[in-house]
Amino acid sequence: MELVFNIFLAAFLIVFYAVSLSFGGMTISTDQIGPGGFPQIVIILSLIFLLINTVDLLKNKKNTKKTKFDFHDKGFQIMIIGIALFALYIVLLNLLGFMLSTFIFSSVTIWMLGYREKLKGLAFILILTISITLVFGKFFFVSLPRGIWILRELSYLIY
Amino acid sequence: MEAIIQSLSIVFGPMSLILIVIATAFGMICGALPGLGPSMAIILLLPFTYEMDPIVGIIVLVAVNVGAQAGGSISAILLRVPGTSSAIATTFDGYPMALQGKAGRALGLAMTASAFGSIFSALAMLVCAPLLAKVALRFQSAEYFALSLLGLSCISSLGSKNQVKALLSACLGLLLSTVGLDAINGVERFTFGQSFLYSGIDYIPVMIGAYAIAEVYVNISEKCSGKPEVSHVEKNASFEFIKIKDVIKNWWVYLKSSIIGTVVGIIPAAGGSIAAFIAYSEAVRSSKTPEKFGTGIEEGIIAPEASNNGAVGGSMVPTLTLGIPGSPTAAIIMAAFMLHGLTPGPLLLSQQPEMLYSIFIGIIVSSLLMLVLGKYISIEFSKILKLPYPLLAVLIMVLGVVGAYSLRNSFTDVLILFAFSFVGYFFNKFKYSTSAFVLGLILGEIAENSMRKQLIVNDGSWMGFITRPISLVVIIISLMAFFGPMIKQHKENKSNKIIAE
Repeated sequence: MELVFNIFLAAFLIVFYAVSLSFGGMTISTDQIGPGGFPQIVIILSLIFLLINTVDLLKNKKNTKKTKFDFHDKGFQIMIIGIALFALYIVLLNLLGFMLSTFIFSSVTIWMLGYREKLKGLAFILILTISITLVFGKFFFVSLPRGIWILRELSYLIY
Repeated sequence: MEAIIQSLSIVFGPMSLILIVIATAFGMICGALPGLGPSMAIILLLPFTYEMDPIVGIIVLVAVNVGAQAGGSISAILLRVPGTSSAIATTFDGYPMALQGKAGRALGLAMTASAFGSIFSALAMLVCAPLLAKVALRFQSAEYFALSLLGLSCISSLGSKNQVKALLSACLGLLLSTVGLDAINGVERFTFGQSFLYSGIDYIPVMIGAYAIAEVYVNISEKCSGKPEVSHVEKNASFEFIKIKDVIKNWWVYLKSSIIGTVVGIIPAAGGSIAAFIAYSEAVRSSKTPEKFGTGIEEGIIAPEASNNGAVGGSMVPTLTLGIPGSPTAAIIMAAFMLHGLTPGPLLLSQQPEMLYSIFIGIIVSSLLMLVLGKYISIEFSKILKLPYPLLAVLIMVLGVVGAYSLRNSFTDVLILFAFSFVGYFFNKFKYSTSAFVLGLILGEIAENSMRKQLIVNDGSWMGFITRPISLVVIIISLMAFFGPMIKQHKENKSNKIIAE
């Protein structure tokens, strides 16, 4: 699995190197390095280190403990669902606004993670949502996401 | 003498003392909340100082800064979420120490070191402010580059388990630091036509994503798979006051890191986070057991915390003596001076000497208060750890999102946080160094720009880096700090081989 990660890194570095070639030359005669020089040096160094690491990985293939993802493991599956919920939460922030999306995300996530005490859970979610909204939105004047349509208008009443 | 007595009467006035207590506590709370930090805390309190006596107003703002720099360590130690950028280096050993069940001691060390650093920098400010300001003016691009090298040199110790992976991680961080508009030519670099990338990738969302959110993923996976937990932060972490004999035992680390913090703080545009990395790197270099750094050792907390608070007093030196702010936070304090009708500079010090003394006494009072307040604030924060893990995980994720978002009120920072949570997860999985990656990201910009600026000034000659004495000395120290742990490890491997044979 690490080999796949290394291949991905190599591809990423090669793409960045190719892009860096389009940065153009020097605009100041004594700027020997230019805008592309520093990233190119760093990319070449990265590729060298990546190569050393990959060779080392292949050489010690038998001795080293393999890092693999167990897709059948319950913990791994829950983590994937957790990441999906987190991604959904980030998407919903701009649609439903901070308060509603935080409330929904928190409720679903703590249930998914196995927390079953309904009253305590609800109290926690309410305290979390309200306190963060008030502290950041009201006191620190952070313009938290407001959502769209009526939710946006309603949010102005709170923060 | 008259000025000192007058300053004492100002600072120890009942109202001033109450305000300093409130300001220090407020600063600590803001520092502990990711995404807020000292600048935000000072800006928020600034309007409240309009009606105050100018000197009291400035002391209040300085106390907020002192508290916020220390407060950043609380969440760094307990949650692996650095509250401020200057607390990043504290996570290297603070969080592992908390995982060993010594969170209370780690918090105690952080507060003690912060207080020590602040008091030292205040003393330095009082005794040799004009002299230090002159030294600061000698710092040019070559010295900035040398300083960034010194900060980067701790990579070799951060990756004691796998040097190649640590170096690769740092290079990836350096590469991502070049994203955005080039500071010298204005060329778009790696923006792929996306305007939100013009200003580059901010390291705060990266840090929250790669450290805190990635840690949540790992914990969810471990806790829900039913496997026994390897380690966890103690749930009843109680603040531990550090005894004087323990301070004396590590006196050299406290002192050296405070000196580094003060000097780096004086240099305009350097600041607490760079000071913390340099002090950490120097602590590793001079340690008899550099391989233990990153595993939760006391020097690994003392060095960054003493230096980042040392930078508070340091940054006030050019502000007060030359009217040049030493950090973004000092720039806001300078604005406060102007709002009160004062112009910082040599004239102010000669006309109002009580201003310098009052700030000096204010920093000392605030630092001592920090030790006491640190206990209560840490206890309140450590209550979070008593929450069942599902609730704690949600809290960290929501706080992480708000912390990233509140930096610039920008949703793209939340997307960056999400993207880098995967980087942190995979780095963790394949034993890459997240710390080296973040270090590269933070120091990359200053390293590249100062190197290119020096070359431009020197007509393309590289000699400028070694013909300037300060730069040369710092570069030599950096090389020693970088290669020292590698040579030591190589020797150890060799001797182990001989023994095995």
